[in-house]
Amino acid sequence: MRGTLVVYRRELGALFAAPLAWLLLFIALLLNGALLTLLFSSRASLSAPVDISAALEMLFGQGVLFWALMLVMPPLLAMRLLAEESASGTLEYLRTAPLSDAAVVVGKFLAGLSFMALLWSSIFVYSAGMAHFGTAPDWGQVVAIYVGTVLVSGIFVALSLVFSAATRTPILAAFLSFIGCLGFLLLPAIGARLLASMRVLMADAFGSYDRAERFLLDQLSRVDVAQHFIRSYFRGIIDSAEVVFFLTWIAFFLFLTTRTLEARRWRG
Amino acid sequence: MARMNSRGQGRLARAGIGFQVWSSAVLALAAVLMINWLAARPGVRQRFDLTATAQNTLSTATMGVLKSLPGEVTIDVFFREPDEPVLAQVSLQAMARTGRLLGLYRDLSNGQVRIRQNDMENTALIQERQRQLHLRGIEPCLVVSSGDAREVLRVNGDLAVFDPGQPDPRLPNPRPPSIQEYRAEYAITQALLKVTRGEELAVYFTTGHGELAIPETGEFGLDKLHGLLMDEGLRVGQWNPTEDGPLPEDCACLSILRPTDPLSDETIEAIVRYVESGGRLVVGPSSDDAELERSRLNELLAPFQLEIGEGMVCQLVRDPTTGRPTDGSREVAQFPINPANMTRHSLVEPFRSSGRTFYMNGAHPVRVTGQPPQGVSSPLFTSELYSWVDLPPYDLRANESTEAHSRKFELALASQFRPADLSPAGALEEDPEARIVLVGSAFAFTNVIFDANYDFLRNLYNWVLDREYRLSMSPRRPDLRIWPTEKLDELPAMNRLAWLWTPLFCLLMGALFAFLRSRGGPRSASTSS
Repeated sequence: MRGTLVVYRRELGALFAAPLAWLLLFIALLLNGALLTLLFSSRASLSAPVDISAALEMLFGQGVLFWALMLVMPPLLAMRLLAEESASGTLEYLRTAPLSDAAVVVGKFLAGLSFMALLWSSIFVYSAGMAHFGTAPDWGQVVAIYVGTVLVSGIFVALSLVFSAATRTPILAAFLSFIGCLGFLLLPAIGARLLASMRVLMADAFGSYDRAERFLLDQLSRVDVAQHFIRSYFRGIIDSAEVVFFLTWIAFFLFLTTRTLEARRWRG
Repeated sequence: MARMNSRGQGRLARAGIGFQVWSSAVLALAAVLMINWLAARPGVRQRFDLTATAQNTLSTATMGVLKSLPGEVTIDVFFREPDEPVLAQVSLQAMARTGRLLGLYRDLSNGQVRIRQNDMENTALIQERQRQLHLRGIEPCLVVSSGDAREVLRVNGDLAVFDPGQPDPRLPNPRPPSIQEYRAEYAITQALLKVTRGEELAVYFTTGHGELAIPETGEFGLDKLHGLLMDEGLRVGQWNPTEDGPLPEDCACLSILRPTDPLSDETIEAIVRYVESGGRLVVGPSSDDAELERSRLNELLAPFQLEIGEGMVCQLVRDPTTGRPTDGSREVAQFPINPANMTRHSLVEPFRSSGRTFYMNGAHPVRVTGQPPQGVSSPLFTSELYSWVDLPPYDLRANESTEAHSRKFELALASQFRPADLSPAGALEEDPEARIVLVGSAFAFTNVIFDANYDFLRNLYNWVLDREYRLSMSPRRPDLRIWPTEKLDELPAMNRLAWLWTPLFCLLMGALFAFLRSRGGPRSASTSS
């Protein structure tokens, strides 16, 4: 635990001491802010009611920008956390320290997650602004959305760390992480498309395969990150099953990262 | 040779490590899936709705229906861009809200409700699904089906009622189209009941004694109540004791509302016998004392130790100009029932806990004269503390010398008890329980006051029919957070905060850290940590 904290503090310090992190935050917040402005201005110019809950939902979960940031930011962070250190050789120094691989991985993960948590904390800035200038949003929903976005980020940071641990080339790590995150996010949709196209084929061959298709769709929906988020946190619900979903997948990816690092040690 | 051996051993060791890594990963994945499966089990799963108006919480009635679903129900979603451009925006809003609602049904039904999103672009699949559901044509709708039974819920009409507005600014009173009423939860729950329920319960209304008539559409008719009972999945019938003979065997509940002519001895005896064998009875007398006397309702209720008092309960009202309590106007006899005057009986508890009201008009005081041997009779609600009983000739004024006054009067009673002459059960059989609801005035059931009393009447019949799980309140209006129009000039400030000040703050922080770093500040701090 102490080792994890030491690594976490070291990573956090290194992350925020570098202007890159602030630059990434600047770009992300600029895009988010521009989208919010666009949403508000377009409604106001049409003399239509400006629904602030809908605007917040568009920014944090419903819009493409949200998921784009979710897919881009964690790979860029994770690339720095392991692959870059591996390339520069500092990772080997760290691993010779009296720390377990798990402590190193968890510490780095928490640092990356903290960065993402800071990025999404802009929801509180926007909400406070809305409450001050116009009308207050549903604070319960705002808190739930924030918790959810941090957990979703956690999954993508953890998944990116797996790829970052698997290669010593930072850019390759970022690219593979992006593909991995995209695949994990779109897996249910791709699976459903595939099943739908097979449906006609199977219907021709065997009549109907409703039950099998339903079973497979159910299984696919179990790993649907977007649906897990939208079904609960996004609507203002804290659901124990969803909390377990995010925490177990984060733990699983962190476990894979640790095993990958260990395997590298044995490979030499 | 030795080198080749060590190379082979090295490969073997690597393969071993690889196998170990992969097998541990597979085991971890299995553990993740199993933990997720366990966490989603109904007994384990806990949900906390953080929204201010509990928007993600279905009503107790819907939850009761979901818990008691006998089998799996599929809800097919056929949502697409509506044809009418005028209503396109409101249709999309209603569809989006319904989509969220359907998610709740799916999540809270423990797998009993399945939502099937149909891809409206895929004509072949749509046609195939429509064939399976025996449907023709395309309109944005939901189809609730279970086995062969199905119910179609159209977006406009069933799930919501749209106001087309007045989009032409040249015409008077221009306004955009809007959702006049959104009632998807109610419609979907009713559809679930319709496609899954077996036999319908029958509610009979007595006729032939001057009672309020079920098909009557005027102010004092009951056709709105009729519609409500049908919507609740009940069958409604009429019973005229002199013409129809004995009470129909399928009668689940008998209503006697405002009889003005005397009930015959045989009728009273038949009704008493029916209730004593576990029947359900709803009674609402005429407000007029002479008609009450003539109807012999008190003779009917005497065996159950319930009594309708003479006179009409009135309350002081505040004069709108002076604000002083006053009497003498018609309003003293028609008043809302304050939640503070409701008991904790399950029939009125939803009103009490949610702070809602309903109305009474021209109600007699009612009272319990004794408790049934195997049951309980209790009041449901009372008038305000400063009430009086106006006696004929009604002057709507408190005559303290001749009339009971300055206290609360009970206005409705509920009684439930086990029939006294039950023979010992041999095999397993249903345990009958009689239920009676006596409301001080039949006026509360009529069309004129129906909208205000909708929830009360729905709960009344559901309670008397032992369907407590359906006691509920109408859903609240959605919690819309709209930027106030009077503060629209503040919107640019908000926009500046979003796109300028917040990102700029990050940029300044970055510049500050870069500056400090160039002077060896935070870098050294981070490495030392």
